Amino acid sequence: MKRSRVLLALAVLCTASCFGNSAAEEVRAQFTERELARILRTALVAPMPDPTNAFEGNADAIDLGRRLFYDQRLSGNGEVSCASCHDPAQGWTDGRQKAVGVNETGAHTPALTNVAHNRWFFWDGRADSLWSQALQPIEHPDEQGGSRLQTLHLLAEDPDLAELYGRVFGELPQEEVREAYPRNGRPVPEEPEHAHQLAWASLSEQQQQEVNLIFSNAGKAIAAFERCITTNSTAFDRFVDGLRTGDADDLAAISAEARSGAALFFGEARCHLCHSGQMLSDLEFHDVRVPRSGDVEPGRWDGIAALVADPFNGAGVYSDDKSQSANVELRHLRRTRHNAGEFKTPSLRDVSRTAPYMHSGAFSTLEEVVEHYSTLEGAAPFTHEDSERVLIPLNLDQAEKRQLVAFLRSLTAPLPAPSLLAPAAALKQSVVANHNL
Amino acid sequence: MPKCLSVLFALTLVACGANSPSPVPLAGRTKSGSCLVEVRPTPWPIPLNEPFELTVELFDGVTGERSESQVFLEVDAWMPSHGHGMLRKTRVQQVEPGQYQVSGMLFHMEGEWELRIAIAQQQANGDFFQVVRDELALPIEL
Repeated sequence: MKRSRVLLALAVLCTASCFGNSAAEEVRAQFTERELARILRTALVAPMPDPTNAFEGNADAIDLGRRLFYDQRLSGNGEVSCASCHDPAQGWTDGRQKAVGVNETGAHTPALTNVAHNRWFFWDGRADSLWSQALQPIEHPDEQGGSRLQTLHLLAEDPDLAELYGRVFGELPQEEVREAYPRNGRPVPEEPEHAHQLAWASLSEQQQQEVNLIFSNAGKAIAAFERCITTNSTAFDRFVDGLRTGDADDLAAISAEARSGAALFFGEARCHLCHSGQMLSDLEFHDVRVPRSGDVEPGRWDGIAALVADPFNGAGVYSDDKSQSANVELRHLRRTRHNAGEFKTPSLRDVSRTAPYMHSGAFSTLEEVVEHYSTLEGAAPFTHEDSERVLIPLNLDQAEKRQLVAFLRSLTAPLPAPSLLAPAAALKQSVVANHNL
Repeated sequence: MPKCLSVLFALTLVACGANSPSPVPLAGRTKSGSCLVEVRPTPWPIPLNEPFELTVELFDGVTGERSESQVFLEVDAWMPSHGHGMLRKTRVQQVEPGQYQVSGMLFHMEGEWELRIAIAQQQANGDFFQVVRDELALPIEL
């Protein structure tokens, strides 16, 4: 918190001291002081540490997490990994309206760029840490369709994974102990006769806790890897640097059209009300009247209930934060009737790569998104009469729409570094890079 | 760097680093007029989309002395022009008679906020007690 405020102060000081040249003055004059302050607040710094994951900076945990992220053996059919939907080549999404795991899911895949900056995870915020988020798709019957017992056996039986796990978290149970564990199993309390539930119920409470601990550690390793998916080198970031320093090259990093789009975004169009700060997201939940065909979706309403019930949440025994201040966000969580129909404000970083858009993938292009906010034609009715009253048609002209899209495209990040790709893919990319030298 | 700019730089850093409350309290009188309320947010200015705390002090509306009454405080915030309020529920702890610490505050959006403070008090009314509720709203521009 302090760090971002100091950075803002530094930015203002540098801006004041360095804007000697007229080109910089001219660019700066396009924005009001308030718009400039909003723009400077987008400067990305390292995410806050997650005290619930003591292993997030551990190199072996990152390595293990990277392997697990790309490992299809975590899935029920052996064909789906985290990367099946979170494809690094597609902005860590899949380009689909609804994700397809072992089956078609009901959810649009959120992007992972700078994911560790989030406060809540999933569109409905049903997880409060990156590691607890990572666990849910593994067991979701439509996503990876795997189970925590399957994860345990995979970690123990793959020598490379077992060695890495041992270095980070300690030894896994010996083979004679593991023999007592079914190959598959997870809690499915709503289906008492489900094979996974029967297997899970066959374990003692102590065994269940041991399995849960190993499963949570797998999540912490994946989160350690996902925390590395970060970039602040977009053209717009360079432009923001230029506003600070007056550097002419940086100020020219985005087009005049994109600059006008930024002025609209952080000014009159008021996009910044929800899309603010480093992630260009307030990290919270809103009903923005995305067109829908059916009833009101539960959104955040169900998300809060699921989060509170999640044994892997920040208040749970698997969290590494045992301090008095632990779980502060959960303590202040509030569930109101307004939560129905609300979904998380997505980050706009790298947004040009993450089509389709909105929580339901309702819009195929950025142009369609801008059109939605411009006219609200075909928009779903508000879930509540007194919902987001500031959401009114912007009535943009064609030039303004183009400017906003140009600004959004300036947020495109470079392709991920080889260290973030699957081990084999990283090797291939490295060979290609060397060949091109 | 010129000397004056260095001094300004140092002063700004000190100011930004300090986690200090607002030097001048936000203040208002409850609807009934029986209570004066002073509120000091920490840090000040209130940061956008980051947690902050409040120190709330209650004073007698007539004498101006610190209130010694046993009361219950509820603190919330609302955005009148948006039709929604704060997404978190606050926790209020009494520090000493008439002084309360409020945690869990977070303004996630820029704009006009209304800090809503409700004061509930048990009062004797003949042979029985009744709960009397008083309130005030303080505007805050973020």
